[in-house]
Parts: sequence; structure tokens; C-alpha cells
Amino acid sequence: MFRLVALRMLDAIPTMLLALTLVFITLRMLPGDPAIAALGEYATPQQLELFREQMGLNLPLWQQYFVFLWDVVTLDFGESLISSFSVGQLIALHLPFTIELTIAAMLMGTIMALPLGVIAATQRGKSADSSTRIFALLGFAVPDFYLGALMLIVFALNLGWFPISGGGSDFWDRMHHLALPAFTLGILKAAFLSRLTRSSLLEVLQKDYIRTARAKGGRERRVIYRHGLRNALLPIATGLGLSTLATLSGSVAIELIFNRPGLGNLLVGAIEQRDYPVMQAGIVVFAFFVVLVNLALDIIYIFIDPRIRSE
Amino acid sequence: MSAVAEKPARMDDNGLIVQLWAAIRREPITQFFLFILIIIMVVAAFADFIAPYNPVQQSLLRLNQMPSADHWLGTDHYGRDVLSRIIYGARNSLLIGIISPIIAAVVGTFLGVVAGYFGGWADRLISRVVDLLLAFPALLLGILVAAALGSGFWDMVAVLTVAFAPQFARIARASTLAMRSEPFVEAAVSCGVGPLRIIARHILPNISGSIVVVLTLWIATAIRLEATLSFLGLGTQAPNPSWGNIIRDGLNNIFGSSWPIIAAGAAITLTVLAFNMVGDAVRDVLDPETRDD
Amino acid sequence: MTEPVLKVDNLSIEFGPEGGALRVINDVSFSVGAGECLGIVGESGSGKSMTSLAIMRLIPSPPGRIATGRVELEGRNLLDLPMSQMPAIRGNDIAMIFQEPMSSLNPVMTIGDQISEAIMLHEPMNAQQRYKRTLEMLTLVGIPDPEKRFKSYPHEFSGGMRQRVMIAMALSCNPKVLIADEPTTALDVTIQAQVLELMRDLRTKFQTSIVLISHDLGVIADIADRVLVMYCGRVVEIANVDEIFADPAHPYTEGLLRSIPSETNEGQRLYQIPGTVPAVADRGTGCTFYDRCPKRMDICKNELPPHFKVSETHSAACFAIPEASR
Repeated sequence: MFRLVALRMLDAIPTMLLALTLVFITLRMLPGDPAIAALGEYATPQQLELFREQMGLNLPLWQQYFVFLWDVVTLDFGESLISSFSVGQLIALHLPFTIELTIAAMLMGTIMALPLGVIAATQRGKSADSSTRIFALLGFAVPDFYLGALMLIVFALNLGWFPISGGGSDFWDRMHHLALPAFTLGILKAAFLSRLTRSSLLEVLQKDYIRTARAKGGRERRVIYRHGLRNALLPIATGLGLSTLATLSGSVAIELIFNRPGLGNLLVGAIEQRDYPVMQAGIVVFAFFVVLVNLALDIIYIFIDPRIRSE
Repeated sequence: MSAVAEKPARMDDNGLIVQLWAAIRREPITQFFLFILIIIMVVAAFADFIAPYNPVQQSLLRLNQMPSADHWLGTDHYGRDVLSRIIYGARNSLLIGIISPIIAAVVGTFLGVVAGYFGGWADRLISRVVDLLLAFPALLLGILVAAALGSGFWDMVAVLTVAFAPQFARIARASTLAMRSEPFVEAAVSCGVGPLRIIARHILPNISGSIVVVLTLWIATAIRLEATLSFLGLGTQAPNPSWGNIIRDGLNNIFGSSWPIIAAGAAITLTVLAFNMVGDAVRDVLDPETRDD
Repeated sequence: MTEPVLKVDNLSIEFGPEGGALRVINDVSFSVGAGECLGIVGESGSGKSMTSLAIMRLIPSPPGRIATGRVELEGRNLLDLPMSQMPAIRGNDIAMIFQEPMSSLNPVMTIGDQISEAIMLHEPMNAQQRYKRTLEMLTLVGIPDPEKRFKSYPHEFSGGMRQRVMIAMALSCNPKVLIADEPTTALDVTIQAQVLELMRDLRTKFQTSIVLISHDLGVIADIADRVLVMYCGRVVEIANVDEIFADPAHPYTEGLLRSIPSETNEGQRLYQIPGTVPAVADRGTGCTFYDRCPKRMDICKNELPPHFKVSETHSAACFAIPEASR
């Protein structure tokens, strides 16, 4: 098992490399001059030249590629064009807010989704099932930033129960700031995950081994949780992985709504202000999380599916 | 014992449109959303005639007004009529939301068919890149490409195409692989029929059903994604209205009036919901096995 | 015969909505004594499996429903019990093994855990005792190296081994009745013989009553004492095993026997009963075998034949049985 985990980790390295290559290609080779993109159309030729010099944009493309990779490996992302902090410091400052938001939202979403999905599957066709279907349809149709804005208007602006913006300082203050944005993302994830739980569980409940579990005298609760849900966890885990990434990227918009000092806010601000080094680093960090979550998923499979273990 | 296999229902047996119409007639809820969809499209198409005001016309005399008989959805902090902005916003949102998935379907299907039909290094390269892109949430790909490209109309179309094409490529590749080993395709190959002809005559017609299913469902996602990117300031730019940037504007004026946010968000939600419901109906006809009930 | 352990009386099962329901099982009655093995044969769709699931009250409901009848276990009618009491009976008094050994075991639980779960559900034992009992069961069904195999997962076992695990699980709480639904159908011929041998041994050892369901008369001949022939959800013939093979009374049973490959019909084209099993909705008021019957008479078309006694232990539902032998 340990060997398999190690193998999966090794496997993630070329994926990360490919991801970095795609980021590099997108940022450097798409039409448009990064220098003009960064400094704006009214920059003088001298300013442009100086910028290219600083950013190493005058080097041949393959050299730029290796410089880019080396910078990523050594975690040296350079200096921000706007802020007085280094890019590394900026990321270190903003990242915790995004991570705590993603984790809190996923926890809330999962805790809501699993029981809802089980109820929908076991009460198939009844009103509880129809309600989760409507919940899922609405959850898919409502954009996260819209729901976030509504929450902000109702619970922060009008009722004043939650702070309007910021990330908070001490632990409880941070939780207070976290509650609304995390709930917004969490309930939308719950809509998706409860439906997924329902369909995965329904599929599993048709299997022969469920009949075996009943035939040996297992009570319904045991059959559904021990045998049904335990097997449905395989597709649900995939959904959780997708959901985590969607939450991570969804946090970009939510951070803007609640004005949280997270990574998404940093990235969008950098794109707006053409702060090229920050933008590049922000995208690399997101790409890193994509690869990381997929790796985590591969490793989770090893633990929950014995069939993968013995491959 | 002779088992007479029941003839499987095929898409072209009984015109697709006829089947779709029959399916829609059975479901009053689908009818309702189809009706909504048609209204939204008509409004978007005839915005010039329907919108009561010029959507970018500012007026200091009517800032942040509540809904009234003159301004059904009130006005924003520049005094612009919110309803008119939503109506014109529909045009941007729908155009991008419909055109991009179609282009993504064409590009993705091309890549998927090439990978699935020819195999070899082309398949390995395409599959690897597609797998990687599929691992990224569409929004992240959108942000990445939008950061590099800019935010014009066609830039947005390109952004969404990059975000969605991998989905189509994966499905087209899988369907092509399945078709490739069908006896009638193998027979055509052994008769010396060229690959282009086989793809055009045998593969494409047979995989088009699954592509259309995916296409109808991705329109909803495209509209939502366009709205999100515009909200982030990476899409359609002010003062040109789109539902996403109306909410962004509204957020900057959240102490003034919350009507722009509420109305634009409701427009997105309703449109996405309508496309989804109608898309589900299309899927039920074309691909009954994946029904969600 | 002593008091039967399991007695099924006039069992009927319906599927579908109330009012428009279709009767898939009609008036099925039989009984099994202690240590006896009853074979149930019939083509697929004849209602064998449905009958066995009904005994356990495992028919998916809705749409299924037991319409009439009694299922008595040592004199107690199981159909009268509240559903909440059934788990205490399943696996404890009546255990079941299924046709598909490949899919009937939970893929994410170890073999040992699945067997000891069955023990835990019915026997007051601590974990250590359960572990010991599980190892005993694995040894009993002939699985070598049980300590190691305890921790194996189903996918690491072959089909025959999995069926042995199923048997171990079914027998782990010493059930009074074992229902085996096509236990060997999915297995190779040699493995099939081993599994049947195992069941025969266990039966003599523990006096377990067995209901063996099969479409294969060879398997039935091998192990059963008595045979019940089902067709279209009805019992058409019931007899001791030697009577069935020597002197079948129902034309359907005859057809089944003629379609077994044997030395006497070697080289000839194998007999096939003409026609197909009629769909449930197409069954009229008469004999359900009418359309396919070589001995059909006018009376069979609209009148359902009752069971006629051929001997003390042998009866069949057919008008073609000569008056003299009734």
C-alpha cells in the first residue's frame, strides 16, 4: 500500500510539469505582448524595454521556460510591480484565507449532503426526494457570487449579524468572518453532492451484495450505511474531489463579494492591475492545488477501494 | 425458442424534433421553462424595441431609485435604468453563452475524433492534455485564459471554448473508439474506404447524438461562467451591460441600492434553470439511460 | 414424515399497482422436513427465485407484494410477523445463498468481516469468539489457510471460493433452513461438483433442511430428495426424486427430462420444448402450458387442471393423467 501511495506521488510530478507548461504557454505564447499587457497600451517603448529586461522576456523562449520552472521549484516568484511585498510574501499572506474558506465550505457541504442524499435515495419518489431534486436544480442554477451577494445583503447589511468585509483577526473573529461565505459555497456544494450521493447510493442498493446483507439479517440502517454508503463512497469521493476544486475556484468570486483578503482576490486584483508576477504566481498556486487535490483523491482511492490496492 | 429482439429505438426513426416535442408535451414543467426560454431569447433579440431606456444613459436626477412605475426595477448609482440594463445584458450573456459551447463542441469533437480514430501519438498527446484540462475547474481555465487574452467579445468566446472543448473531446474520443470497432466501420475500412469518408459518413452521424446532449447542458454552464467572469471584471466590460458586471457594479453600490444585484442574479438563475430543464428534456430523449429519477 | 421445518401454503405474489397487479406466483405449496433437501426446478421466469425470496420476505416492495398464503417456520407464520422482526430470522433460522458468487459479496469488506458480521448479528459472542468461529467456518467449507484468507477481499477469490464463502456465511449461525438459489450455475463443472459435495456433507452433519433451486435437473438429481417442478408461477408437479426421473406425470416435466443430454439420446438432436414461456399478462384461465403442450385437450384451454395424486408422494397438475392412475 505504501508503495502504491509513493507511486501515485511520483505520478503527480509529470502532471504538475505539464500543468506548469500549459500555464507558461498560455501566458507567454498567446497573442498579445505581456509587457503591453502589464504596463498598458500607453507605455513608452523605454518602459516596455525596461520591463522586458526585468522580467527576462528578452531571453529566448526556451530559456524563459526553464527560468520559469526554476523559479517555481525554488518558490522564487519575484517582486510585485505594485505592492512593496514580494510575491512570495503576498501569497503567504493571502493563502490561509482561501484555504480556510475551502475547507469550511467543503465540511459544511459534505455534512449537509450525505444525510440528504441518503434520505432522498431511501425515500425515492416521495416528497423528501423531490425536495432534494429541486434543491439540486436551484443549487446548480444560482451562481455562487449571486447567492453570496444575497447573503451579504440580508445577513450582513440588513440584519447586521455578520461582518460585511475582511477576513478577521483573532480566531473567533475569523470564524465570524468565515461563516457567511463558507455557508454560501457549502450549501451550493451540498446541492450537487446530495444528488450525487443519492444516485450513487441508489445504484449500489441494486447490487447483489446488498441483498446478501439483508439475507444475513442486517437491519435496514446497517444495510444502507455499512454496505450501501460504504460502497457508494467511491463515486462520492470523485465528486468530493471535483467539488473541492470547484469550491477553490468558486472562492475567487466569493472573496470578491465578501472582500476577503484571499488568494482569489489577490489574483483578480493582479490581473486587473496588470501585476504580472503576482498573476503568474497566483495561477501557479491554483494549478498546484488542482494537482494536489487530484493526487489526494488517488491516494484516498487506495484506502477506500481494496481492488485498487491489489493491482 | 426464438427470441425476437425488440427493435431498439433510434434517433432517426421518428425525427428528433418530433420526439422532442412529444417529450416536452408530456411535461408541463418543461413546457413552462421552454416558454421562459423563448421569452428570454425574444427579449434579447429585440432589446432595442423592448428596453424602455438606453442602458448606458446616465442621469444625476434619478440615482439609486427604488422600483416605480417609470423604472420597474429602479435605477443604479449612475441613474441608469436597471431593467433596460438587464434586457441588454441578456444579449451579451446569451450570445456568448450559446456561441461558445457550439465552437467548443466543434473544436472538441474534432480533437476527440482525431484522437479516437487515429490513435498513436496524436491520441496520447491529445488525451494527456485533455485529461489535464479536465482536472481544472472551468472557472480556473477561464481566469487563466482571460488573464492572457483580454476581455472583448471574441476573447470571451475563446476563453469559454478553451474551458469547455476538453469535455467534448473526451466524449467524442470515447464514442469514436466505440464506433471504430463496430463491424460496419471495420468492414468499410477493409473495403478501402478512406478515413475522412468513414469519419464523415459513419462516425460523426453516430456520435452527434451524445454531443448534442452535452451541448445543451453546457449552454447553462457557459452562461453561468460568462456571468462569473464578467463579475470578476475579466469578461464583458462596463459600461456595456452583462448580467455579471451589473452585479459587480451593484456590489460597489451596495449601500445605495440592492436592486441591480437582485434583478441581474435572478435573470441569470432563471435563464440557467430554463436551459437546464430544457437540456434535461433533450437528454431524456437522446440518452434515456442517464435519466435522473 | 415428521413435522416439517418449513411449510409454504398457497403462496401468491403480485407485482404492480393495486388493482392492476399481475400475479407472478400462484398458489404455491410445499414443505421441507428436517435434514431434507427439496429441489425446485423450472425455466427462468417460472418463479423459483421469487418463491425463495418470498420465504425470506425479501421481495422488493413496491412493486412486489405477497397477496395470499402462509410461510410457516416450525409452525410460526412468518408473514404475520412485523417486518422489524424479520432480520432476526434471516441468516439465523433461514439462510440463503445466491446464484452470483461474483457479485454477492461486498467488495470493500474482507471475507472474514462479512462472515463474522453474520455471526455478530445473531450470536451473543465477543470479538475473539467470533473470530474463532469465522476461522472454523472457513475451514469447514474447505478454504485453506483461513487466518490469512480472513483478511482477503472478495476480488482476490475465484468464483468457487466465493461461493464457499457464501456457504460459510449462510451456515455460520446454524440455520434450520438453507435456501440455495442456483448455487452452482455460475461455476465450472468441476467446481460445481465440489460445491454440491460440500452442501451434501453439511446437510448430513448439521441436519439442515435445504431448498435447492436450479434449472439444471442434473444438479437436482445429484442432491435432492424430492422435486418441485414450477412453470409460470405454479407448481405443476411434485414427487420424490426417483419418481420424477422414472415416471414424470406432467408433459412439461417430461419435456424438461427429454432435453437433458444423456447416453440414450447421444448423437440425436437434443429435444426442445416448442414455443416460449408466455408473458405474465398473456396467461389465460386455463393451463399455462397449453400453448406448448403435446398432450393438450380442449378442456385444458379454459380450465385450470387441479393436482392429481399419482402416488402417495407424487402429484401433478394435468388433465392428461389417465383416470386409472389418479
